[in-house]
Amino acid sequence: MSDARILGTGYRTYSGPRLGPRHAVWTLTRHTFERIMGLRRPARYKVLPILTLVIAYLPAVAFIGAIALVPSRRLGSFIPDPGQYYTFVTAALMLFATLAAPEALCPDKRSHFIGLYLASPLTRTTYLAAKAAAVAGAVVLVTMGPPLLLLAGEAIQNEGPRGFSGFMTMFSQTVAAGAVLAVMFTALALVIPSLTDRRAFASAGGVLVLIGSAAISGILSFGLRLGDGWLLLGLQRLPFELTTRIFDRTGLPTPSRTPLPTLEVAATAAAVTVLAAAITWWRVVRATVTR
Amino acid sequence: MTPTIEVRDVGKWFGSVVALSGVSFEIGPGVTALLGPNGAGKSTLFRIVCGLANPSQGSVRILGQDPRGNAALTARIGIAPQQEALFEWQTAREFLLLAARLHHLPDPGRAASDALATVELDPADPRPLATYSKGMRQRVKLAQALVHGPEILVLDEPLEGLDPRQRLGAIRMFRALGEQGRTVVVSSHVLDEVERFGSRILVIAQGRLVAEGDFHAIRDLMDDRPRLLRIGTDRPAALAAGLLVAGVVQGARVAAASVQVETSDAPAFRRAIAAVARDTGARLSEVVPLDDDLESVFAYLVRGR
Amino acid sequence: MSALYSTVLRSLTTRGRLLALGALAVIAVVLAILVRTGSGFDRADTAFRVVDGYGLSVLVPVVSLVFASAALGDPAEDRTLVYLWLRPVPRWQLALAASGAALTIAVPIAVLPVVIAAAVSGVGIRLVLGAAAGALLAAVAYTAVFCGLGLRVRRALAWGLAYLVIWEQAVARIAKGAARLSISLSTRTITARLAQHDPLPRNAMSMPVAVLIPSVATIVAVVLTTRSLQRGEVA
Repeated sequence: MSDARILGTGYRTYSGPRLGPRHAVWTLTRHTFERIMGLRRPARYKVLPILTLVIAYLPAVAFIGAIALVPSRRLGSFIPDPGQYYTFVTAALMLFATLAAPEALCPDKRSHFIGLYLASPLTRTTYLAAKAAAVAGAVVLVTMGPPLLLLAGEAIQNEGPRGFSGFMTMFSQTVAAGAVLAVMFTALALVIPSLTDRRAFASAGGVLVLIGSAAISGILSFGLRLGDGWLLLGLQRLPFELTTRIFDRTGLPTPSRTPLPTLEVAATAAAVTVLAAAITWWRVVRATVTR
Repeated sequence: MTPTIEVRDVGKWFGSVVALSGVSFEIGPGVTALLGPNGAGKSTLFRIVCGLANPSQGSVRILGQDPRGNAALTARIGIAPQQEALFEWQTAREFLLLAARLHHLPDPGRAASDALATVELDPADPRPLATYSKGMRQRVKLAQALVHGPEILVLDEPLEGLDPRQRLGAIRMFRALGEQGRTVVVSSHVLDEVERFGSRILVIAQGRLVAEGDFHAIRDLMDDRPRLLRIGTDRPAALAAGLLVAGVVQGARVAAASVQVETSDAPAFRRAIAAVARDTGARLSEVVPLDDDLESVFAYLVRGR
Repeated sequence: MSALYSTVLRSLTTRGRLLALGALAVIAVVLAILVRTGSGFDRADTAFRVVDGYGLSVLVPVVSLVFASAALGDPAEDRTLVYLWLRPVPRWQLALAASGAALTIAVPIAVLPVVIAAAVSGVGIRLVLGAAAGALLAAVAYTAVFCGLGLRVRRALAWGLAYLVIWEQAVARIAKGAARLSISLSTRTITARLAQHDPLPRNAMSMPVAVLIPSVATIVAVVLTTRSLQRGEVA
């Protein structure tokens, strides 16, 4: 008796293990992160992300170099602590977030690929969660990486916070601040891409919203003296108001020279983040996925 | 006579990807078909010929002039590119009017209407191009290539999206333009219809020019490929045996009322077939070449089979 | 050239772009009304903030970028540029037509609102003149530069944003040398000097230099765009 057999031709169903929705979410998150960073893509897609990261990390490297080469008595207060570092990376952070978020959402809409994703174990909510996680993961490279690098450089050279508890306090504050910035900027950056399928317009819109709101709030409070509260309208400023509190500082300068109340800052930041996330979620849930 | 289009040793590469290599040919008035599989380099060659792209090496002459940076020469060239996108917000007439005005035609409105009528589109159609079907877009592209009456027409896949009747009409138009003395270069995958343009072809594969000229003559040159013929007869088995014994065929397949043979020596076969039929008592009803068509020539050249 | 100009102009005037950016223009006027009607602050300084900090730093650059990068960038990207390029038209006309079309939209959406805001704020004719000169020269320079960028580079809008955010908003405001390569700082300097505002923007230059920088940038941009059209590859 021969052991020959015909296995069948044509379509066969997949009979291997199915890893479920969690794996689908993780796969989409990883894939989107790679896309944002230009990984597994031609070199030209890596240029802007790398350039932005370089701009974000360069001050940290420069400061660490200064610590190593210049006697500490001559440095004085030249070297910022991680809490003060964000002033150097504001532009890079804003640009990175407003480029990353459109890259995550817009191509799927433009190519109608979102329908394929929703034919998998992903729901609209888990799809959006994966996309947001990818954007946040990329933004964290800018919000957490450089100040942690600076902290590590200071610690290695016996500068910076004193003692283990001082170091751990600063470390925790840096991680918390980086996480808060990543969450807020991700939520804000995803709103405009949820409204359009053109990456370029989404990026321009994101930058406009951030810079424009900062300019308008500055005019209303510093210029027109309508009150310090209007500063909370500045979406670019609001996350950094929160992070100064995390580092036990009083807050950014105001016209009245009185810091904004921490409770107001926290409440406004939470409300803006939730509202931005809600708008994005609502748009994704309502999106038409077939022609 | 100076050829209309001269391409000399043209190569084009994008980084490490070689799109064209060592391509040389001349084209004169009439219709010439450019054939090749997807990715062979046809569209790249068209763009270089029209001056839309720079060759990495070699030279191109259109009517004796370099097309690169030669805005004046563009008045004598019409191209219908492969891409579908048009100015979506315009109507067909507006699109053609723009082309006519940019060509400084004395009566742009009349030229636009005539060009649209030539491709059987309504000049008064108020709908924007965004609403047009693929076939209608194709005809708009043809019309804008024709509106200024160019001497040279370069048409990249012009039959795509057209229904059979429209294809026949387009083919007739191309032949008429060729007979008027214009130089018409057409690329197409629809080989049986390309045969109706005329018989001059250029075959490109993997960025190289593989063959050029009349495709019947090309077939004759392919003496490493045995000819396939079908012979209609009332005694197929006997005829097949006789041809094999005579040594003028290398293989034979017998069917109910015909025999299909392979021969490497077509002239010898032609001399022997009548005598073999007489000797075997077979009556011949037809002798039909099976691979003398363009598709077979193309398959041999490009796919090697 | 008018056929080219009107075609590019029509391609740029999409409802979404006009509405979104038009709303930003309205904000400038609203702020100016608040300046005029409010009290308890330095009106001249606040009006200057509206013109300088919002108009010249945000509205004019971003509006110019959005439209100018699309003028030749959109046809190049969707491969319809061939229908403008393969015509017997001098390339400089195509370059000028595209920049001109973008400028035609940038003026009413960005430049005029800034001038109107300066006028509405009621602080005087000097600020109006300064706003007009600075905003118009900025729009002319930005549209020329970003038009060429749109033709040469994919994702021109992203690169333009990087230039505006990183270079003009950050680097040029810190480094004096970099200020020489900033259209924003030169046009803001023109506005500040004409409006006789004190203090001048940080790293401000002399008036002749401030006029020269955007002018040279415009001419160089148009020349480079023309060269790109002559020598570059068209899809």
